[in-house]
Amino acid sequence: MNSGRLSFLAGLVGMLLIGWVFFPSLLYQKEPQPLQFSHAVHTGEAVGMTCDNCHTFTADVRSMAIPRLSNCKECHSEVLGESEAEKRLVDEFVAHDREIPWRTYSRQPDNVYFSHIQHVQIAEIECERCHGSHGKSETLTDRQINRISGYSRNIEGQIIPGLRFKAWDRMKMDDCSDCHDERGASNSCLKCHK
Amino acid sequence: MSSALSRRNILKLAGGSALGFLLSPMPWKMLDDISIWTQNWSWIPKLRRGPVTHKYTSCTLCPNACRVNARMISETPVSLWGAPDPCVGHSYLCSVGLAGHHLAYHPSRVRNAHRFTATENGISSEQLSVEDAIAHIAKILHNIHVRPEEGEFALFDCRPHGMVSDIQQIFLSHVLGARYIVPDHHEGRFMRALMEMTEDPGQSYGLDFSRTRTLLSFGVSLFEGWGISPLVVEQFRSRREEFNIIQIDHHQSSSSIVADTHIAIKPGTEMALALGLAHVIVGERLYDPASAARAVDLKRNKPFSFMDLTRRFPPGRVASVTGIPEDVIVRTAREFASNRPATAIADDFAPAELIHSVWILNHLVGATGKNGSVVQKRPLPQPWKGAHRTPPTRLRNVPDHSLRLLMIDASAADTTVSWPDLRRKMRAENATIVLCSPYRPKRGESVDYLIPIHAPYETVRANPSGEYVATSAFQISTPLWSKSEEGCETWQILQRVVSASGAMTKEEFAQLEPEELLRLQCDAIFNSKRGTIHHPNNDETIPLGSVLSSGDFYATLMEGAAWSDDGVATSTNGRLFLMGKSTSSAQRFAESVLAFDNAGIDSNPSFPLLVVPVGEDVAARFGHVSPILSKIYQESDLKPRSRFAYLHHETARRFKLAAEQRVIIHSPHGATEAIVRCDSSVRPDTVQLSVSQLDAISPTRPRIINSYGGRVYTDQPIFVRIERARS
Repeated sequence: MNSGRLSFLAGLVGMLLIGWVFFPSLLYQKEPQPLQFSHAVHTGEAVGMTCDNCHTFTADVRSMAIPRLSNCKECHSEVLGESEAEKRLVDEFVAHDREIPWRTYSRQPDNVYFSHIQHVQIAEIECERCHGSHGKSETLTDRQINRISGYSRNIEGQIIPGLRFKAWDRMKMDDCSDCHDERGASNSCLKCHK
Repeated sequence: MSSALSRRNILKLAGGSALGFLLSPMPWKMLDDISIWTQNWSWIPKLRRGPVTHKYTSCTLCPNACRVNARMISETPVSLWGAPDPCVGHSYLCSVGLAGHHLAYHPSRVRNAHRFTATENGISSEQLSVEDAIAHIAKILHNIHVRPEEGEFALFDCRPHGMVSDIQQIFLSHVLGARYIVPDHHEGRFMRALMEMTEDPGQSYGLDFSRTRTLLSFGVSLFEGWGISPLVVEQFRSRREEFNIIQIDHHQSSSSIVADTHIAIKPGTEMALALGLAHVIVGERLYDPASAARAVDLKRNKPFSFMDLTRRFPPGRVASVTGIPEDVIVRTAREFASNRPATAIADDFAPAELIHSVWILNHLVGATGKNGSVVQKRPLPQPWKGAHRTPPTRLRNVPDHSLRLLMIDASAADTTVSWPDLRRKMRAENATIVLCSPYRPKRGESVDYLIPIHAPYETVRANPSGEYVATSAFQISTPLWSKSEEGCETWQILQRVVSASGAMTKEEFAQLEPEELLRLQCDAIFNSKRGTIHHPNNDETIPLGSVLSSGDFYATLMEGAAWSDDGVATSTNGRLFLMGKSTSSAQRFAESVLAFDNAGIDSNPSFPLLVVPVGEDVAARFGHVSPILSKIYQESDLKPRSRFAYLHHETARRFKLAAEQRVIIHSPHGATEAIVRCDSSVRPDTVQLSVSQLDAISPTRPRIINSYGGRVYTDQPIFVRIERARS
């Protein structure tokens, strides 16, 4: 291969690497969760909880609440098991009655009105439709916030060019309107942008 | 190695990098993110986060006083919805009302007083304090007081209704020769016309549709506008099967689409149809015997009895005049007379003789004074019963070029006034117009001073019910934001102007605050010991008598409750005057019917098309609508545009015209250009034009624009012909 082609390929591959590998890690600021948590343990056969056992509707019934410490304390007033996270939960939060500052993955931007009760109870949409296998995850991943737009990566899509292969890959406006179309729901602007 | 650093290799490296850059997500993702970033700059207001609460208040944008449930986030309103209403069952907000909380942020909003001066380059504006503006205006008023020959002082009240209008009339009574001007037409004109035909002095009437089976609407905007729509919407929703709507409309309106029957009528012939229906009802003896016995001029009267007049309108003749088939006229009359309770209604802005004819239909079927139709009600208790007031003068009755100083109360969003008509009342020289409004004047509104007042939901406002509801009601429009120190109300500006000019002799109203004014109204209602209070929080109704004090009553209203009066036992024994109670009104009605009978509404062969003018309500009003709604209107093509002429396809073919073609519309008085739009909902013998196009083709004024439904009424029918424009 002559040196000209080599230079061209070096530029091409270098920039592809930067764009596909380094750019996403630069673009998204990683924010670790304050505590590790296994959804799989809680929703698995041994415990058998469902999503709405902890994620109840908020007072205005629009959102699903991030569990409060009081939810955790129902079972974890004392250390259960031997994991480091369990020990930290009791020592740092339960013992001092301090709320766990969980970081929300899927908060829609301020200009979007999204009602969970409308989708979960009235339209009877499964949680997995938007949140995928999050309810069966062993660990909590870092929340990733776009440094420019301020949006969560769970909203913008895990696949960097914004492609969507599964329903829960993205939660952008197109995804909402596609689902509304499929179900014959209104796609009026004022439905979500009140 | 030396070759790797050659210029060619560096260029190839750059080329490869550029291709790699384009094939990577970097540029595309950056474009997307930066576009979002530009929407989130620090100076762009952010929605607050905080507890979600609900606050009950009432809308003041039109006289209907709809109940409002405001969804608040951290004490800021984010959306408005209708709420349970003791008068109509449930309020449903119109599109303007749904975005009423946007109006405080309107781009035209002003916070300071302005003085406008005409210069060679146009109009220049200068900001000044409200105190300075009031001092200037008071000086002018003082000069008028000293030298009355310089012209008159007047206040133009865009919505003459309730205690605020009362207090303005009282203030004006302190100024020698001051006028209190009201629009020529405003809400409630249809209901007030009934008083000219019944014997009960001092009684008010309202509409009770709770049991109505047939509603015959002569061009009333039942669903798409303000005015009567809250009453109709609730019945339409709750009793759809038994609530039969017959809509008589010259174009396909939203009401005519939703109605059970749409009767498409030739514009300007509605009165002939009403009298034709009356002819069938009388001829076939379908009328209510009790009502007929009460009608003193049904068969005998001088010079005409009612039957003498209706004889001139047999269905065959009415069919030729109105363009409605004879069998439809007969069928409609039979349905209206047999499917009772039945009520006929006309637009508040319609010609007086049409309103009169429609009331005749109601009398014939016994609607007046019956539950489920037209009921009597007591007026709202007034705080200043004996106070001296300046009587109202209709705008058209104000002599031209007589006013030196005019203050305009533009706090109501529903008023439609032709600005040239208003300007003509001003003196040619040294005339001053003061606009009291939360917003900058619109293009074409040449004012000299602008004094800012509160926008809707920024302050407490008295909100009595509209004219149509079956019982009087009162509520307070409580602010949705914490009280602002800036701004005031028009009556306070008037009070300060009158005081500063030295005209005010009594101190009784000096320094009166809006809350004190409301307390006076609450005292008057509380002392009447009538009616009930409905609280939307728990949907509970309690008698006013169970409230301990006037202060408690005021506090309850401030929480969003509404007071509504008790119903009154309706007397059905009073005499009815189908032709009109006074000799003059009977004569006026007979003359207009005979004039129509003689002249008809025939077109000139040279000008074969009748113009159907449609209002551009946003442009024609003092009030403003949320910019988001203006955008939706503009982009959705919901409202007719001023540069288009809407024709039926048949009419377009007849005149050899095609859609989007430029045309010239000729009338005997002038011509205007337009672009053709074909619309099958327009009658074949008509052309639908925007009201702003009428100036060039019709010199007749005034024309009345009904902002409640975008309908326009002209004094005379306008006939035109259409020709292709030469390119």
